[in-house]
Amino acid sequence: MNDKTDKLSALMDGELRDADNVLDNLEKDESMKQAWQRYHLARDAIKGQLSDFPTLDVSAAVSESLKSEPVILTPIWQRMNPRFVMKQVAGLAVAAAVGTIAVLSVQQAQLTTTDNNTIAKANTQPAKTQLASTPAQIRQVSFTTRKKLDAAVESKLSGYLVNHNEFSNSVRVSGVMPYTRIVGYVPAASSKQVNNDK
Amino acid sequence: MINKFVSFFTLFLITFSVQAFQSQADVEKWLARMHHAAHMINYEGNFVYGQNNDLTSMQIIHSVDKTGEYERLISLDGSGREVIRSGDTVTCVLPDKKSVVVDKSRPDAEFPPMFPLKIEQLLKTYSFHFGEDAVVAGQKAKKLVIKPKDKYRYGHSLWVDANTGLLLKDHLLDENENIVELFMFMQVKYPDVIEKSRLVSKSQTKKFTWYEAKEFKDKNNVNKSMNWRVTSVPTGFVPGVQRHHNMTVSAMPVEHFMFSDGLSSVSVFVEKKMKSSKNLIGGSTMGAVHAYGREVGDYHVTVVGEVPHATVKMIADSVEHVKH
Repeated sequence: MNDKTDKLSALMDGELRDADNVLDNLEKDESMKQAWQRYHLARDAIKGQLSDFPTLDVSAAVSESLKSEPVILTPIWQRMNPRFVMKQVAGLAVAAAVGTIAVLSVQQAQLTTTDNNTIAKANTQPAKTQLASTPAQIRQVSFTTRKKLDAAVESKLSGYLVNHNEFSNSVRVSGVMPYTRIVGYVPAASSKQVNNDK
Repeated sequence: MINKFVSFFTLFLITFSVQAFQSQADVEKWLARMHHAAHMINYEGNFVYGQNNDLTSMQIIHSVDKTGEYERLISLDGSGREVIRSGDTVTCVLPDKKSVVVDKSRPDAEFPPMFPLKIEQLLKTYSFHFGEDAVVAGQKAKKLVIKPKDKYRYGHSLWVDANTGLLLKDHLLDENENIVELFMFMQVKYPDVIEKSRLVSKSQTKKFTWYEAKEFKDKNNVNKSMNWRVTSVPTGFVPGVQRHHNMTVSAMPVEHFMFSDGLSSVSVFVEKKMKSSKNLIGGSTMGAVHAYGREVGDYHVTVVGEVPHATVKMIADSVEHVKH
C-alpha cells in the first residue's frame, strides 16, 4: 500500500517515469482509485483556498469527506510532500490571478444573455457605465460562449494561459501585455473583502 | 525605341523596389525601436487597458540598469494587485487574496532580450503601412498599421513615441476591424533615474501569505520526442518550443507545442484524460484570447492563443497521435 501511494504521490507531482503502468493499476485497483480521487480532492481544497469562484465550495466537500473517512484522509495529508503542496499552490495562485480573463468570458456570456440583474451588477461603477456607452466602445467579439463555463474548466484554461504566456515568444509589442492581463482584474468577491477589513 | 522603353521600365522597376525596400526597412527599424524601448529605457506612466466591454487603469514603472530590467505594474482600480518583475523573478502581490506569489520566468530568458522579429517572415502574412502622425499622451507618435493577409490572425494599429520608440497605444483588431483589445498611455515620463524604492510594493505584504515556486527545472523536458503532432497550421505559423511539462492544472505530464507567426502565438496542450478533471470542449473566448478543446481517444487537446477562433479550431482539429 505504501509503495502504491508513494507512486500515486509521485504521479501527481509529475515525477514518475512509468506513469502508464501506474495508470493501468489505477484502473484495476479500487483502493488506489479512491486514494487518487482523495488526492485530487485535497488538491482542489488548496485551490479552493485561492479560488475566484465562490460557488465552488470544495472545502465543504472536503470536510464532508473528513467526517466520513477521518482515518484514511489524515495520513494522506501527512504524506503529501510539502514542497509539492507549495508548488501547486503557487502555480494555482498565479492561475487564479490570470483567471480574471476566464472569468471575464463568463461575465460576457452572462451579459449577452441579457440578464438585467447581471448587467446592473456588472456596472456598479458609474465611470465604467459611462465608458461603455461611449461611441468608441470596444465591440464584443462575435464568437462568444453563451453558456457559463464550468469552474474547473475555467481554472484549467487559466493554467494553460499562464504557461502559454510564459513561453510565448511573440513581442506582444510592449512585453507587458500578459502581466497587464493579470493586474487588470478586480474580482467582485474581493471588493467585499476589502470593505470588511476597514 | 524599344531599348529606351526597356531601360525606362527597368529604371521604374528599380525605383519601385528600392522604395518598397526602404519602407520595409523603415518598418523593421520601428519594430526594433519599439522592442528596444519596451525593455531598455526608463519609463513610467498611467495607462488604460481594455478588452470586451471593460476598461481598467494601471500604472507602470519600468527601469533598467546593467543588472537587468525592473518593472512594477500596479492596478489603479482598487484591488491593489501588483506584478513586480526583477531580473528573472516575477512577484504577484494580490492584496485581495492576501497573498504574494513569487515565480521564475522561463529559464532561457536573455538580457538584453533579443529582437525576435524577422521582417521577411512577417511579410508573408501581414502587410505594413504608416498611418497619420498623431499625439498620444502628449507625445508625438508615429502610427504603424499592421494588417493580416488572412482571417487567421489579428491586425494591429500601433502608435509609437516618435522620440523614444515606446509603444504608447495599441489596438488589436479582428477581421471586421472591431477592437478586441486595447492599451493606451494617458500620461508617460522618461526619468533618467528611478529610485529602487519605487519598484517595491507598498502593500503590507509581511501580513500576507507568501508562496514561492521552486526553481524552474523543466530544461530537460524541452524538445524531447513527442507522442503527438500538429498536422495543420495557418500559413506563416512556425513551430517553437516543444516540451513535456508538469502543470499545476493537471496531474499528468502535458505535451506542450508552441507556434508563432512572429506577432501572435498559439499553444497546443495534449494530456491524458482523467475522470477527475474537466476539460474545455469546443470554443471559448477571453477578449483577444481564444481557446478550443477536443477529445482524441483517451486524450484531450486544448489550443490557446491570442488569435481568432478559426486559428485555434484549425490547429486543434489537426492534432494527431504519432505511431512510433
